[in-house]
Amino acid sequence: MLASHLLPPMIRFSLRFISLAALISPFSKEHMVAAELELGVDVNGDALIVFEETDQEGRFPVDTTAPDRPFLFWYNYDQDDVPFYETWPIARKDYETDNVDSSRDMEDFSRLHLRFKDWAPYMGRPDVEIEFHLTSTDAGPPPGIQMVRSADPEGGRAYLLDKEAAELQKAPPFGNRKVLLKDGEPWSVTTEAFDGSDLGSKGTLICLLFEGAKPGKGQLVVRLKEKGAVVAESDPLYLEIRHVKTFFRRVTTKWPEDIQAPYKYRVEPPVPDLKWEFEPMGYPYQPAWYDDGHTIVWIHGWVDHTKDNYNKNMTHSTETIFKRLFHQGFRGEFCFYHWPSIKTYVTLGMNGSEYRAYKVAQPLMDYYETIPDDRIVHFTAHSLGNVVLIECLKLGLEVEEAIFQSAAIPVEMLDDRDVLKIPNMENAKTPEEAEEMGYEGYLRSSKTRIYALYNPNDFTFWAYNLLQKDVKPFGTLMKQYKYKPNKPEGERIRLRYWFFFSRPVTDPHEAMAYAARARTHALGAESRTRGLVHEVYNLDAPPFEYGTGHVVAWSWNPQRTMAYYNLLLDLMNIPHNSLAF
Amino acid sequence: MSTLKSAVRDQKSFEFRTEDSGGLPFRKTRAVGHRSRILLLLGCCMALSGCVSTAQKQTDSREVRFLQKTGPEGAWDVLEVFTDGDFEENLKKAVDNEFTFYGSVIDENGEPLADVPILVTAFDHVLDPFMFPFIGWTDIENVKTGEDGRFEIKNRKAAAIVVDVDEDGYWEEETGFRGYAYAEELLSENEYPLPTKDEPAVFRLTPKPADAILNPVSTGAVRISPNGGPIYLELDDYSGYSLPMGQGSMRVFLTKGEPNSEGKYDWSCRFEVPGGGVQPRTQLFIKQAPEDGYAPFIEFGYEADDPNWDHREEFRLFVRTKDGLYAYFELRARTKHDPFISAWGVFNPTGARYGD
Repeated sequence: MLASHLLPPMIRFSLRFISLAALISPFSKEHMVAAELELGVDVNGDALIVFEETDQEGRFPVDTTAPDRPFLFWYNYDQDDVPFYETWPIARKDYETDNVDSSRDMEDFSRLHLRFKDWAPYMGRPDVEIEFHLTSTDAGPPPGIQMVRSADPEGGRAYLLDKEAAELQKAPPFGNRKVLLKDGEPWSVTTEAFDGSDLGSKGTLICLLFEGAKPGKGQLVVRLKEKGAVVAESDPLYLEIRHVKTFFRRVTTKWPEDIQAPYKYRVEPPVPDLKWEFEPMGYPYQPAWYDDGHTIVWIHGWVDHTKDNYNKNMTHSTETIFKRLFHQGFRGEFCFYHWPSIKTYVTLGMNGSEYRAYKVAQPLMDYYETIPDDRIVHFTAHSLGNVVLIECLKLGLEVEEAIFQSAAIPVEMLDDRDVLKIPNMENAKTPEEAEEMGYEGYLRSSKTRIYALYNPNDFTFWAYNLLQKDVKPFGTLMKQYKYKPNKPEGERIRLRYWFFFSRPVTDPHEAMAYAARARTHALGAESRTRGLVHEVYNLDAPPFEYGTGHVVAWSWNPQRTMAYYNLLLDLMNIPHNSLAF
Repeated sequence: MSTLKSAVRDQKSFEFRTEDSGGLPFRKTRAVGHRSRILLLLGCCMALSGCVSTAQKQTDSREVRFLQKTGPEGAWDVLEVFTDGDFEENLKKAVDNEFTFYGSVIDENGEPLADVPILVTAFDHVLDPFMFPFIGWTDIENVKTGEDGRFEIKNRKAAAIVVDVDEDGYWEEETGFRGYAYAEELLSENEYPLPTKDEPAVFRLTPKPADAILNPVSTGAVRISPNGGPIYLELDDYSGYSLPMGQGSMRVFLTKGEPNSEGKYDWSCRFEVPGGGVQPRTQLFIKQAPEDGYAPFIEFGYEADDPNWDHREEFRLFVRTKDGLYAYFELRARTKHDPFISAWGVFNPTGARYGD
């Protein structure tokens, strides 16, 4: 079996053997029977690896690479070695290990197929080698990849889609033996390492998985050698391995350090002058050559920005989201909007984050205006990020669709039917309608189609309702928002401080974030939503089955969440890959 | 509204239920002190929260739309008993029936089964806005049998409930679920006596038969053929591309016209099962594909001047192939950009009609 031959001593032996063989029989095509050895990867993201010769009457598009059209993949720099989520801070990178670390680690692998007219006569022989040679195609160093043998002899995607298949793939003899190709050095393995079970049903395939281990642009050539003579040599497969952050755009709006939360001002709070900017984080976005014209703008939810948490969140959620969309076939531009949500010791900063969320919508709209008109743009947000999204719609955002994922905004902002009122909140003392700076009917019309993904069992919304019922109107020891419906218009909501002084609240954003109380469930929890919402989808129902989870889409392993990404792509009318394998 | 041309559409309605949802794998806290702090914090939160409401799963717009698409004609005729007088008021009164349900779950040998999850759907509210199917439902969560195999549902109101006993690998063979009506007008519809504390409804579970096998139907997005011809499909093909011409047990004709000044266009999706048949699912609760009632095709789509025009549509279908295999899936047609269709559901490879 291959595993025993992928141990380091054998690697060293093979390299020595290759060096010797090279002296006797340099890589000359004179010795070749035919160049029938082909390398395949899923270049176009359609879940198939299609070689020219297997193309049936044009049924499948062929996966081809070229120096200017390489297969793009990321290097596996995160640490997926725990059963749930990921390890942070990263103590060692996954590509530095000898094993496939976990089911989650699978999403950092792609498929590599070696196709030959008939492998069988060459299998199980100590005098036959398969040699891999990955070299640079530019002035830089060559990329590095690490390969493992695919547990699926047909080389399918089960490792990404099925829990049991992932367990099989990560276990010996498959996932515990990685082979590193780097620094332009050839590596070879004798075919004693293989037996019939490794070959696809037609006996023509050897299937591997690989992860990126080092950035660079390069070409992979594989040679089949018998007694040192080249029997077959593949055409180059062009690869480019990059940091995953280069695959998606990041746009950020920062909060001015000198502007505090509005309740800290005894006079009208200053209006922040907010501007968007790109956020390269050391890895600027590089558009892919295959870009299909779609742009997904993704707005994150509440993120704690203390310590290193934003970087952690970027790796654990945003990069994961991108990877899963990529595996399900998305080949457009993914744009992540980073906004300055905050964590405080009072209500975890939810009020302050909501306030900021309204304010950062305008700079996002400013960024949206820079997106070329010919792109097909989709907006989506998660949890509290939906405050940004609804404010964008309020500001006139007109895109293909807006998808509210597990939205931490009151349903009444989009659907003002009385039937949605929570009985014990129905008579809550609060500004009600948007005209009074309450939530109800905040968005009365939109040309953008709106979808909502909800889960009535999402535990987060228990806390959300607690916030609305018992924490708002917001107050501290010396400052307190008050709502007095009998006062004249413009005077009904006031911020009282030091018992004797107060100021009116005139900004609806401040009023909603600190003083108004939702009288309905959150959009992300409510099943009955209609109003401006075109359709709702239950995330607790099959195939999603989120249970009580709120961030399942990236906290759970890919094998349990790909249906969610298919849903998103389907709602965006973007073709997506099957969930079967 | 999308047009649906089919030979059959007067069944009663829908939705498969499958196994319970998995919970989050919470990490265990190690230190007792840490755990105590968490418990203290939770306790404070609970005390502070008083009676914080949580949402329930009730009839959602997608379910309502699904039922409306398959049409009110002939469906839900059970509601006709409420049409004498003010229909809406009659229904409101009907859902206002307080009930207590007593059930018991036993195995083949009559032994009580503990910790069996019970799926209960209560028809307990009138839809707002008031439109077909008029009456809505709520999923009653967290019902399980106790050590003695018994369970109760109390302090609830509903016109009727459906009880589905759901245990991996086991089911109640007779129907898989039972309906109990509590509204006076519906009492005569009851097939089972209303249970009491002394005489609970007994659900006897038996192992699911060997041929109750479900394989996935998941085509992924299948684009229109470059030559404009039909898309040929097979239940177990997931390549994302049409099969070669003439192959496969199903075929789809997805056509899209030129857009008008508003960007709208005529489009249609015709789904055919040569030698077999198709019918839209209209029943809410069903565990087996219907034996009869299949039509050779269905067709849906929109004309550009339809006031309800949409660029996308989907239908939940039962399919019987010419080889006698039964499937249940949602067929989706998306025409906005590069038109594609997709199908997602299950099929039984044995030829049995089981489709839980």
